[in-house]
This record gives sequence, structure tokens and C-alpha cells, in this order.
Amino acid sequence: MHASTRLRLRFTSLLAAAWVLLSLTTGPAADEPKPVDAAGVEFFEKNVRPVLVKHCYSCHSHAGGKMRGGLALDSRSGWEKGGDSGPAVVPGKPDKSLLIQAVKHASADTKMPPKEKLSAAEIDTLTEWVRRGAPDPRVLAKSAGAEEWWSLKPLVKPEVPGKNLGHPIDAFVHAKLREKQLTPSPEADRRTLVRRVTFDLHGLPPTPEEVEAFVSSRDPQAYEKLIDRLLASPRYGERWGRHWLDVVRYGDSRGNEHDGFRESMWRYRDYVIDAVNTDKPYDRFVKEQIAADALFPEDAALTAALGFLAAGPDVLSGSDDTIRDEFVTTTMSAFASTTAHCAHCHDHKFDPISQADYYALQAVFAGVQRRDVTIDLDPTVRATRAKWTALKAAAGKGDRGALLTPEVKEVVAGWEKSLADKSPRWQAIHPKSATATSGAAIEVRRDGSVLVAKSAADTDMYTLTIPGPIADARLLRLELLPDPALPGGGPGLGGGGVFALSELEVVQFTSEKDKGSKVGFKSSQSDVASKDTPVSRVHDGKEDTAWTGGELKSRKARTAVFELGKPLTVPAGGRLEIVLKQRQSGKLIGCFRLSVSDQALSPYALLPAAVAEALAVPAEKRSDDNWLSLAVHALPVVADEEVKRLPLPTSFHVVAGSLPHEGKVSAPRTINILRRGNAGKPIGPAKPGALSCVTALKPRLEPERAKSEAALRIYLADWLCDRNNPLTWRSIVNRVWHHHFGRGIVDTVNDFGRMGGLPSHPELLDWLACEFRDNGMSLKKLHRLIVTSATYRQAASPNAAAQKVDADNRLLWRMNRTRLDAESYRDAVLAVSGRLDLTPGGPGVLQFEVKPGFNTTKLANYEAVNWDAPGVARRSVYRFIFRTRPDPFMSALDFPDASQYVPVRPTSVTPLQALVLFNNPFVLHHSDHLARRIAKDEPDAGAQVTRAFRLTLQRAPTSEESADFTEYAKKHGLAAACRLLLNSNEFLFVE
Amino acid sequence: MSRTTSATPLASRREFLWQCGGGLAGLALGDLLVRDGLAAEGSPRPELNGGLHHPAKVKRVIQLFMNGGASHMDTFDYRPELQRRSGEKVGGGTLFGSPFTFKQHGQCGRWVSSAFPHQARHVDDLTFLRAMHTDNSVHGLSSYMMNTGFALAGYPCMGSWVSFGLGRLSENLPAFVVLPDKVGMPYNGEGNFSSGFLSAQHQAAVVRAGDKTPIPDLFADGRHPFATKEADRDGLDLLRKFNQTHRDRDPSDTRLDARIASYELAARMQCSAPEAFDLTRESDKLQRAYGIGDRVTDDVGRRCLLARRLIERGVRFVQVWSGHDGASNNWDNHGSIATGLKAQADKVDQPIGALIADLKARGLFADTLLMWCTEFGRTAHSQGTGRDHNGNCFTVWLAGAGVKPGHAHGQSDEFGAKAAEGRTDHHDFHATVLHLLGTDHTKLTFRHNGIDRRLTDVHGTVIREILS
Repeated sequence: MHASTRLRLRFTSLLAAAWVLLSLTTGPAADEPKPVDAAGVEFFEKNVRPVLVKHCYSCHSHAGGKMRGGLALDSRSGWEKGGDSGPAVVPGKPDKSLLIQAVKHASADTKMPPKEKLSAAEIDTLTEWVRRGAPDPRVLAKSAGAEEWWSLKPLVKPEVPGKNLGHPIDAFVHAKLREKQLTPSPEADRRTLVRRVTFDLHGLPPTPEEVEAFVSSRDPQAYEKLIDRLLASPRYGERWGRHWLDVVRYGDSRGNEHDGFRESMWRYRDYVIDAVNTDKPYDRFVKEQIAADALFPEDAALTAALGFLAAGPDVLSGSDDTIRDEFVTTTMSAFASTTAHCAHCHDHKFDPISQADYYALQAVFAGVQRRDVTIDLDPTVRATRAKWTALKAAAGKGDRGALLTPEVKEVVAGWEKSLADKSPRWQAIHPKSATATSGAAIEVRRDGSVLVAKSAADTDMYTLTIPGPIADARLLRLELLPDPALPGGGPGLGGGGVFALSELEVVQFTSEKDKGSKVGFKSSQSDVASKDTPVSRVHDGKEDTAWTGGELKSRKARTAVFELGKPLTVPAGGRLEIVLKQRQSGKLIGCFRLSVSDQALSPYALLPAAVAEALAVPAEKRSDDNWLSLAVHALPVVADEEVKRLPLPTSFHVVAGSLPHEGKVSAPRTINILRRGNAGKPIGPAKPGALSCVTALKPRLEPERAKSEAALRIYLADWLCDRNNPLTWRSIVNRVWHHHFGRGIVDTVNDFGRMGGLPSHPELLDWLACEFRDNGMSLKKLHRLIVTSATYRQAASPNAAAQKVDADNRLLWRMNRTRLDAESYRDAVLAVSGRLDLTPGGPGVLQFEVKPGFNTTKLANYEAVNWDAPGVARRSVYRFIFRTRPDPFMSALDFPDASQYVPVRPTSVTPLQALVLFNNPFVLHHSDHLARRIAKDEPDAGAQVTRAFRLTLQRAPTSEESADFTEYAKKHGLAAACRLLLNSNEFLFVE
Repeated sequence: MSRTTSATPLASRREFLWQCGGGLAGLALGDLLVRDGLAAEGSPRPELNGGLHHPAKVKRVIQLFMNGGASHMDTFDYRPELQRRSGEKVGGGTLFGSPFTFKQHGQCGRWVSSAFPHQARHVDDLTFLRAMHTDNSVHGLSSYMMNTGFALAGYPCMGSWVSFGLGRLSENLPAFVVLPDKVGMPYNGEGNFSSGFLSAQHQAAVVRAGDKTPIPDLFADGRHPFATKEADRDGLDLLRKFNQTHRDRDPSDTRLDARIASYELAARMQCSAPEAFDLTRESDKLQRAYGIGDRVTDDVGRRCLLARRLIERGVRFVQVWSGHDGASNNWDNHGSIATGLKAQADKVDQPIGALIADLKARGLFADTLLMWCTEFGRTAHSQGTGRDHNGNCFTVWLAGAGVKPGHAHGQSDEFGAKAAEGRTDHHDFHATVLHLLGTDHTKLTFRHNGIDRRLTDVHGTVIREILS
């Protein structure tokens, strides 16, 4: 070992040791480095390492690509964690160390190496090493080399080659070309350019007028102005927002067996489109998606950004570990182009990412989960709702302190004023006859009240007959009235005026001959509530239960209101019979009155007795108890009315902890590092943090900060957006480059690790990353920079010589030809046929006919959709993405499974795709529209063909093409000719 | 992915295309469909009988999938102890003996219940895995596992992996065809036959067997009168010419050639597919044997017969589903085994019996694998008169090339509640099917998001005990 290497090892070990001390918490430090003394290192390096390398590494190391039984012996953490049978070495205790047992072939089960036993000297060496406490400096072996890997190297802005003349991108690209004696292609013609850049930035073709304007412009700034116009249009965000939705696996349904619709997922989609259109600085875009609630609590609309981790499918399997795994995967793939998820079950096999790092990331997400939330975005509305909710709660609790305030009195006064308007109009019903089964005399008085002054009977049944017409009665009121004629003043005939009503029945007869039908009650209430004998007893169908109106003390009147099952209308000639059954001995009713109202049940139908009494007292003379009674009753009524007036709150589907408006603080849970990712085998608690291989940044959060859930995500957001994070800035500029050129400078845009691709132009990538980071993190600036380069503007034409040297065009001696993706194809067809509806935003458009299914998952018929129905022909980014019922048309054009990460869209060529493009009703229908659109303005067949070419291909046909297509159109119709153009390679590919 | 090159002479091919009405003439021949740079390591090798890594026993596969979790103890896994002790309270539930009667069948003396009289006749051709188990007892997750090897959405299914690894046997038909139940899709819908991160060329062609248009978009529908046969024929000619001129400006871009060729292949599919889908070309006797024409068996019968016709014509992998999602008309017999399972069994048994006999009679078992699968089994305890989900044990069978006839591997416990001996799971099952196709499941990989993905994740052992 070279001295310098050893020095560095020791140095990093010491650093690591210091770090461990700083961040030490209780519980085993599962995978953190430990200091090793020099003698120990020497013993290990001289004696132990050679044995391990020679005999063990082939089956138990990252380099060997195998970890049999889950055991790696190429790092200290490897044997500390051990394999399936547990730790392989117990430092200081050879006889307790499985490794030593195994090499001694002590047990028949584990003999290692299996085929050939080590020499006695080698066994002794290992035993001695364990006895010495197993000094092992190899912990950081992989991280030590981390910065040698291109993507982890600190970001330093390279010099632009040459003398800073011309466009910097061209300087980098042309320098590489020169190395291979290649020359760039000439600039593409203007028609090609305008087509290219419009599809690139908008996902749509330019109109013939736009082509003409650009082609014929003499303005030297014409191209720059074109770019400015395209970037300023909302069409730009729709196109580039969709690229981001691929990264997060956006879908509008849950996936899986019960693939229900997520009705509010689209708010995240609209958030992304809006963020792109408004050129939100990229760091802000990152931070909002990870921690908008924690960082920008005042802006509730940003809750939509938290759809980032919720946009993918539901994860139903296994433990929370699996769910957090998705969070880690999504976050690190999207923002850092890093495959941290590969270290879920073991240290990353290829990249310097330990399992401890992986679980540090999981721990960041320890307090969040998938949620549906509703929020008032307007703070005033939110405050209003909160105020009424609190007042209602205070009323529920009878909280004197909160209720006896001037404000509440004012609310009560307002309510009192409204009573006249809002109380139902009652109409007393005058019975034509009233009889008692007992034969007792019944007097019907002028005000409709009924008096049975005395009765010899013990129990009785009164029947009142009321003639029609009665129109639209919805409520029935029964008043039990005191009367001086009654014992104790009434309202009952019992001692002290008590009464008991067993059943109240209403029977309607629509005519004389009608046999009558019973009218049901939907609900009932009484002015004095009683738990023991509630008024509902009079319509419970049981004659042995009764309503007694509670205790009758000072106030003798009792009122009950019944809500009729359905509005009651009795025609003239018909009648109503109301029967009061009284089965309790000696508690007959003495005086009562019935009324009806045609108004619906409301909180104003019946005032509780205490409220009525308080109202009877003039405001200035009311006692606190009066006010309290009024407040307890009126506040919930007014609160419900006020809340109903508020705009509906906004729904979001997000991954979050408690949100700011909920007024709670979630505490993160402890996340355990799991042996081989197995939830049943925790090794020890993980410390929240990120990747140790990014050495410029603090890899773990300080324990005191780690107590707040919000702080965890703020830490990760800051870690990602730190200017010294080498991954983030390289990741985003490479993504953007990928979409402009059809291929990234690194072609594995989600993987900058050792198994990913290498950058074709590393200096250019770093220069762009720095330029982007240091100039406002503006995507629009980056686009402008890229598309104004000669590299972007060059032609895609072939060049046999260059082909031989660089067939793949990695060095960009020409522009790449790219095929339209599914959305661009569909949108382009809609656009050229004049059918594209540019309405932005809102709930996903169902471009299928939907029917109930056999479970939650609905049936979707894509062939039955009516493209001409209003609101259907919207841009594809707004279509509803139904995970388990994908649109076969879009799938044929490589729209991916919406449950997968799609850093790069594949472009396939299949016979089924040809069939779909040739025969699918969408294409045929719009071929027809395109033909009609043209024929409306152009009577001449030849001119029609020219127009069709200009609309679809942005150019006029050659004379031969014109002749061919005109002849064809004459024979088979213009629509048939349009169908061919929409199937042509020239339409499908952008040069 | 296209590996077969047509050797039909130009003139007769042209005539052939004219005749079948697709109409396209004089196109460049050849194996032009580009592989999009996403190919698995190596390609099928003739000296390995089309295998990727070792000689292939199997070239094509028909998978029958009983959606809902087909009960093993009521069909192929006779548990005498369960029958004897039916009604006893054991382990927190009541043992529920099968309402069906069991008899031994064939030379091998395999026990089969009275629910499957037709399949019972063929037990000497079948190999059973009777100790299958899975981590999960939820339809969606277990169906994903059985189809894609993962419990999460978005992974490629076995048919897509086979298409990706081995490609087509014929250019005229898709490599991978799915025949869903006439009434509806299984749990997870098309997620079960997703090509996941594999390219769209490995997507399943979902064919609606009973429909007037079994392959959507094979032909233009009648709503667009301008899309006549003649317009198609002349149009494809003009399109080819137009595309050819465009392509000649850059001959280096093979995608342009591939797109031109794809229309020719599409036309050939237009010609081949209707013939393949036309079951009336089979004798009345055979149609009747499959149960076609009988209300109960017609749908599955048609799809089983179609499956045979498709693999005969070079489709690599055909999946035939029995049952749709939801609580009825599938194998999720919580409510009643005696009636619910029986009704479902009646739909499939005769057609499957006929398919086995037909494949055998035609010598197709020489290189065809037939498999009967489900996502999990059911409990030994009763749930009223039905059974609940049980991932701890289920039965699948395989038949045809490369597997032992009249064999059974693995045992469930005395009640059929758990896989006991010779336990195997979906990873082992997938590894075995790939093995039979001449493919090492650890080597058939696709790099996605930083991981070399496999059908078998990081698991799976070939079940050598059942290989012939």
C-alpha cells in the first residue's frame, strides 16, 4: 500500500470517527466507521486482507458481484452486519465468531470455503485478527474513491475552449469534433428549424403562417424572437411539464386491483405546468416538491407540489419500508440521477452508497404518508372557517368564557332578527270532527286547539278528521297546551298535568273511497329534549313506549315537530286522519293543537324551550343564563350557515405529514436499517441524512434538528439544492439536454453511477450545470442557451465520413432526428385538423367512455369516445391517465406504463403501431376533419394537396408529390390523402 | 424484434398480399424492424434450438390463468384428512371438506375432484406443483407477482419478457397475445400484461376473441367511408413511395426503413390474423369438443382453440384468462365452493381438456408448454360455504415439452392449508418456464433506473424435479 493512500485512509477514518462522536445517539451505530490504530491497520493489511481476497472475495464481495448468504467480507460493515446468520465476526471473541467457526469447518452446516479448507496458518491469522479486536480500515474503501467518479466530483466551471468567441456550447462541441477530425453540419433550413424548435418547445407543429413568417423574415434576430415567443407561450409548459411527469410516474388513478380515480391528482400536474411556464427557479421547484409545507407554510396553494411523491401508483404490498423505498427512489432518481434505491438490501454494488446512507434517506421520510387533504387556499376564508368551527365547538361545550362576549351577543342578535324571516309559517289545522274511543267529549276551538276537559277513561285514542285540501305539507307540529280547565293547569289530564303520548299516526285518504295510507315521519324533535322518553317514541311503532314531554315544572306547554317522510298533499274531497294513541294509564292529553307548514325542516322549525324563554325576556333584561341558552342554540345554526357560504376548500392528493393549517406537528418515527431490506430483521436505527459520497455536504442531520419532521425534509431539500451538490445541477441540465437532442450528454439520465453511461461531453455538462446554477436556475435561459447554439441549429442530414467515425452521433456532428412522442403525435393531429382545444388545466379529460366495473375499477372504452364532444380534444397532457386501463393508441406510440419511471421514452416500431396509425378511428376521424378544413377554403384539388402538405409537413409538395397525391385524392377523397400524410415518416419524425 | 426473414419470392408475395385484401406491393423485404437498442444479451441460437443460454425444450407457451385464486383442495389437491375432519374446529376456524368427490385417475393414479372430469382424463400428461406459495393474499398483489414477479405495478410480465428475450417466431402475428375473459379484465386490468419498462414492441396484443374486431385497428371501421379497400391498397403504395423518397435522403437511419417495413408487416398481419381468428376453419367435431356452441363453455372454448391456432402460427406466448375482477364470475369463491367454483369450473374444464388432447394429437407438445395457473389458493377453513384467500398454498400444473408427464412435485400439509414439502413460489415457477425456453433467468436482464431487472427479481430456482 502506498503511504499516501494509507494516509488518506487514516485521515478519512479519523474524520469519520470524529463524525461518529458528534452524531452519536443511543442504539447501535449500525454502519458507521470506527477509528483503527496504525498497528491494527498494518496487521490487517499485511496478514488478513490477502487471505480474504484470495479465499473469500469471489463469493462475498462487491467486486466479485456476489454476496452469498447476504454476507460481504470486503468492508468492515460487511462482516459487522453479517449475512443471513448474523454478524460474521465478534471482535475479540474468535470462538463466538461465525467466520472463525466456518473456516475451521467446526460445524457440518457451514464449512468455508466449502470446497477447500484454509491452511492452518491462514486460520491462525484470522483467529488472531479477531482476537485483536478485528481491526479493519476498509469501511470507507469505496467512499474514499467516490470523488474520482465523474458525477461526484465537485462542480467546477471549466474554461470554454478557444478564445471565448462564438457560442460556448459550440466551442465545447466543436472542440471534440476537431479531435476526431469531424466538422459540424451546416445550419438546417428555416422550415426545418421552425418545425424543429416548435415541436421541441411546444410539442406542436407551427402553423403554415408561422412557418411563412419565419422563413421570409429578414430580421437578423428572427430566430431569437421565435424562441422568445415560444418560451412565452403556455404551450411550452404543457410540453415540458409533461417531461417532468414522466420522471415522477404521473397517473390519475391508483393502480392495482382497485384502481379508483384520484380526483385531485391533476392539481400536481397543473402545478408542474405552471412552475415551468412561470420559469420557477429550479431550486425552488425542488424545494417545493419535497417540503413546500415546511418551507412555505404561508402559501397553501403550494400544497399541490407535494403531489410529487404521490403521483405514482399506490404501494399496497408489504411494510412502510416498501412505501418509503418508493419515496427514496423517486426523489433520488428525479433530482440527483442517483440509484440510491440499489442500497436497500445491501450496500450499493457499484456506487459508493452504503445501506446506512439509503436508510438515512428513508429516515427523512419517516413522518410522511399518502394523504387526501382539503384546504382553504384563501387565508381569510380559512380564518373564517376556523372562527366558526371554534365558536361551534364552544357552543357544544357550553363554554361560558367564550360565549358571553359582545361578539357572540352580536351574532345572537343577528340571529334573533332573522327569526321572523326564517321561522316556518305554520297553519293550524282545524279538525272537522274529533272523537275519542272512550266516548269522552272533545271540543274543537276556534284557534284549532282541541280540548278534552275530562275523561273517565284510563287509556284512550283520539281521532281527528281534517278535510282536504292540504297542499304540500312538509312539517307537522303538535303543541300541548296548558289550560286552566285542566288538572294542575294541563296539558295532561293526569296528576299535575302530566301526559303520555304513545303513538301519533297520520293517515291520508285521497278520496272518499280511498282506504287510506299511513304518512311516515323522517325525524322528530321536541322543545324540551328528554333522553329517557324522547319524542321519537311516538313514531317507533311501539304502543308500550311513550313521549311524556319530560318533567313538567313551571312551563307546561310542550311542542314537537315532525318532518314528514315526503311532502303531503290532500286534494279536496280527500281527508287526513290523525290518531293520538295513549296507552299509559291515567296520562291522557287534555289540550293540544296541530299545525302544518309547507317549509322544509330547518333549525328554525322549533326553538328549544330555554331559548324560547330567553327570547321572551327583552334583550336588555336578559340574564347571563339567558344569553348562554341563546348562544348555545344560535351559534351552531349561524356557524353552519356561514360556513356553507364559504367557497369549497381545495382538495389535494399528496405525500405529507401534518400540514401547517392543521395546527399539529408530526414527529418522525424511528426508521431501522433492515438486514437485506427485510422488515422483520432490524439492525439498528438509521440517522436521517443523505449520501455520504457527496463529501462537500453534511451527510447526516444533527440529532437535535432531527426531532422535527419538517426539519428532515428541509434538510434534504437544502442538501439537494446546495450549490456544492454535484449531482443536482448536472442532473437537471442533462435532462433538459436529453429532451432537446433526443439523447442526454449522459444517456442514462436517471443514473449517474458506475453502471450508467459516461458523459459524451463532460466539460460541457459541467459548464452548463454551473451556468444554470449561477444564473438564476432558469430553465428558460437554459433552453435559450441550447437552442440558439449552432449545434442545435445544424441539419440532421447524413455524412458518410462522419458516419464511419461516429455512427451514433455521440459527438453531435449533426442534429438527431427524433420521432414524435405519443402526446406530440396526437396533439399535432388535432392541431393540423383544426380541432385542438387549448383550454388549459383542470381535472383530467376522460378520452374514453367510462362505465361502472365489477369492483372499484371502472370500465373504459377508448373506441367509444366522441372526439367532437366539447372539452374532449384537449392537449394530451390533460388527459386522464388510467393506470390499469391504458389508452391503446398512446401505448402503441410508446406512452409508457404510468406506474414506471420513464427517464427516457423508448421509440418502438411495430406492425401494430402501423395498424393503429393507419386504422384507428382517431386518425381517420381527424383525417376527415383535416380534409374538411382544407376543402372549406380551397376548391381546387391541387391546391388542397398543397394546403394539406403545408399544414402537416410545413412545406409545399414537390411537383411529383403534388401529382401523386392529387391523383390519389381525386380517386379516393382528400380525407384518404390526409390519412397518408398523418402516417408518413416525415410527419412522425422531426429533423 | 424480428428474427425470421421471409423467403417468399417477390412476385408471389405481391400476389399473396393482393389476394388477402390488405394490398401493398413491391415493398423491400427483410428483417428490417429495428431493435431499439434495448435487446437482451445475445439472441436465440439455432444450435440451442432457439434457446438463449442452453438448448430450449419449449418454443411457445400457452398460459391458462384462473383469476381470483382457484381453490386447490377442491380441484387437484386431495386432502383426505380435511375431508375426514370436516366441521372440526381447528386453529381458529372450522375445517371445510370439499363438497366434491375425489377419484384417482390415469396410470399415475392422480386424485382429481368431480369439478374437473375432463382434465382428470389427462392427468398422465400433467405435472403438478402442489406446494406453490406466495407472500401475499390480495388479488392485485398476488396477480402482479404471478405475472410479473413483483408485487408492485409497472413491471413487465412473463409474456413480455419472453418476447423481449426470444422475439417472434412469425412476422405475421404478434409475439405475445392475451385473450381476456369475454366479460371483463382480471384484477389489475392490463397491469397484469404490462410490458413495464420494456419497449412497446413487447406489449401484449390484447385480443377480444368473441368480438367482430378481435384486434382493434386491424382494419378501418365502417364509420369512415373513405377508408375503402382500394384506398388502402393504393394508399399503402403511395405511402411507401413517399416514405421511400424521404428515407433516401438519409439511408443511415434504419428507423425509417423499419417504419416502411412495419406497414408491410401490418398488411401481412391483416392477411394472417383473420385466418388465424377464423375458428370455422376447424371441424365441427373439434369445435364441439372445445365446447364451442354451448352457452357455458363457448367463451373459454373459443379462446382455447384460438390459443392453439395462434401458437401453431407462430405466436410465442398466449395467455387465456378465466374470470374478471370483482366478486363474481371468477375463482374468488368466498360465497360458495359447491356452486360458485363449480360454475366457473364448468366453463373451463371441457375446453381445457380438449386443448390438452388437441395439442397432444397434433404433436404440438413437442415444443409447446401449457400451464394452468392462478394467483393463490384458498383456506382449509370455511367462510360460510366458501373459502378465503390463502397465499400459503396453491396448485399449478404444467404440461407438454420438457416437463415430466404424470408427475407431482411438492405436498401441502394435511389440510392443504400450507405448502409443506417441495415448496415453490412464483419466482421458481418463472425460472422454470424460462429454463424450458432455453433461458437462464439470472441472465435475462434489462437495465432500468440503475438496476439490471429480471423477471425473477433476485430470487428463483429452477424446479429441476419436474423437468423431463
